[in-house]
Amino acid sequence: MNLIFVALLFVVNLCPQRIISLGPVITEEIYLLEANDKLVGNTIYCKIPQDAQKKEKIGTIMEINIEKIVSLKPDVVLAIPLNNPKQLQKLKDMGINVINFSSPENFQQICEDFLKLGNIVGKEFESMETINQTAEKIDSICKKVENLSKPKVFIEVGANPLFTAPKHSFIHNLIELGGGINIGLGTKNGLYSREKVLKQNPDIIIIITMGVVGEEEKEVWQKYKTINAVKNNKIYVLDSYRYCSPTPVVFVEALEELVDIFHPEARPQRTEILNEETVCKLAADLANQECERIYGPRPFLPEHYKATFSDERWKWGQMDPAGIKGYSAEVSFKKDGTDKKVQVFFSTDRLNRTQRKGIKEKVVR
Amino acid sequence: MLQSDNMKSKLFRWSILVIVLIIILLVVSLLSLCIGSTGISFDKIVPLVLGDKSSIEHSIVFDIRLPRIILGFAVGSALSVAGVILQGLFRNPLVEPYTLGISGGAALGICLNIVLGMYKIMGVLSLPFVGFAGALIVILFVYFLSIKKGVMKIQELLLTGVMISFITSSLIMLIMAVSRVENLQEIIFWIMGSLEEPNWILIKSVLLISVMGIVIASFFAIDLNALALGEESAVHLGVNVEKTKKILFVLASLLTGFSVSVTGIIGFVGLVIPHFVRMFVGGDHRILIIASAVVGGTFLILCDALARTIISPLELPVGVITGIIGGIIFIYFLSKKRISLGGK
Repeated sequence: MNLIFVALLFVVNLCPQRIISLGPVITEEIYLLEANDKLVGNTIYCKIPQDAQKKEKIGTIMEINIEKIVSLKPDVVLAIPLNNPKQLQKLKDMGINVINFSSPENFQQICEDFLKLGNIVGKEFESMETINQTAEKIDSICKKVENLSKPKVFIEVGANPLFTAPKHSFIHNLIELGGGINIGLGTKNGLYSREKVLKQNPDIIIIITMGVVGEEEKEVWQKYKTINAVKNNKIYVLDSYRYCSPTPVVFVEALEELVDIFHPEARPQRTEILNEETVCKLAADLANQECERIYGPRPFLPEHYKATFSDERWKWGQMDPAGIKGYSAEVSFKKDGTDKKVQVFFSTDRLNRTQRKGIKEKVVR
Repeated sequence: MLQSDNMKSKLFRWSILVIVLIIILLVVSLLSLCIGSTGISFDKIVPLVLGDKSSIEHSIVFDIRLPRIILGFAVGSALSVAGVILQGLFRNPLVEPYTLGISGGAALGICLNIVLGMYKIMGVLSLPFVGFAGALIVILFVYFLSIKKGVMKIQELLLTGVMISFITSSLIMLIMAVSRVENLQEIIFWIMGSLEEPNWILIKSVLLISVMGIVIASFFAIDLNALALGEESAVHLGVNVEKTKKILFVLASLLTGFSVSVTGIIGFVGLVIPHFVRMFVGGDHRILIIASAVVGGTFLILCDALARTIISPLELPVGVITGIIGGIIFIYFLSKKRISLGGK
């Protein structure tokens, strides 16, 4: 009897066919490993990639619904530290195989977790390969920034109260790898005071919060004119997605983003490369990306609009109610290809009803 | 003769009432057993009890829903009875099981356990034990501070308890301010309160304690009635006031301490259920205690069922439901009926 049980466990461990993920990062990594056909449930916060939203929902990260999980008959449940330990215990008591993942403190732990996941879903080789690729990229980035001057960086991960990235966090790891000095290194839990920031005088301030709050925070910092970051206008608001709990791939993306900010001098010089043709190509590509994200299709071609150069910026396209298949786009960026601004419109977006009607007919025709 | 006839009819009325309440309790429990994020219809429950023990439905009903119902009853009735006792003892309608800092003590104990990482070494089971130890320390502290020359000063007891409650909540905030994010999560889980408890032994022991509490409290019903007239009158009626006060205080505290250390802070039940029941059965503790116990248990089971299903598959903290539903029902009946709060 026992033997059968052990054998059964072994088989289950070997190739779980029904997986439930209790954390967005695990869901994302499962998709990265292309094991998503085995994913039968995840939390309502698992939104990336889009397909993950269609999977069965088993509650939030903090309040999972045990009944729902049991009814999905999972072979394995993958848990993160934010889940309620009492509920995980309950699942274990009911004979469900629960595997805990850590909250990674650096790139190495992110990789360890990723390998562990690769092992569980039977994609050891793929996970190894991904990690090798990302590790190589990180190596080359480190080499590039090795001999550059190190800016002092203050990274804000929460306002009111002010929170920064402490020593045991992958964000600190990111700053170090990117060739910066994290001034918030000394805190134990990340709680920080503005006074201390002023005293330490960072060269760069990075704000990682959602949307509007980030812009507001930027204004708050701009009041303190003595800080180098304010003097040199080096306050950046970054999308929080990459800095919440990254997969190895996202980690590298985040690192590249930071290196770009820390060492603008190391940026590849693109000024000469950008002639009109490449500008059109790049712009059409950006417009297509945005359009695909919002509406689905990729209608734009480089020759649809002419590129113009004014005020130190390249511009391509215009808001046009009768554009290509009803779509139109406005793209602009600096002459070196940075500071991209992309807007895509569907014909009916900004028009009143009668205009809309007319266009609809046009489109149908 | 007239007296005893009167008493007989009263007893008869009370028995009927208790039986009706118990029937409601059973109906609500059964209903709560049937509803959840996976629909299991009523006619399936019976075959489940008899039949296949390895099916998913069986394990959902008996391993997930049943423990919550039992714990809901145990904690709901324990808090309600504690509320009845304390409101009677203090002759104050605003006293509830959490007023005296007992929950604060338990919360502080559990926060310390989480922050110091003790539960990682000794297992999740150490949380309720440390919580109970915290509650016990507060109980003893309040108890001995309020006793002067063998006399328990009720007003001082209340004030000391309230102060302890403030001190502990400040200390908890201090701990939360300096603790790491992962620990914060755990503390918040606990403070939100939940009937999810994996350990059967804990569930059974809370049930045992709360049933014992109800029985013991019932023995003191007449004394509580006398105390409602004032301590001096109670002495004249032959009640050993000092002893009664001490026993009742310790009893209510233990009931609160046990429930709070297992389920976390589930507000409102202990405050409102006694008032609610008093509106219908009057201030006589002989019926008030037992009725409150049954109604409190039913109420918490019902609230938990709602918390599980209202936005399924998401689950709400049960405290959200007890507060909203309890508050609305209470205000409604308060405006309908003229009642006397606390005591007679």
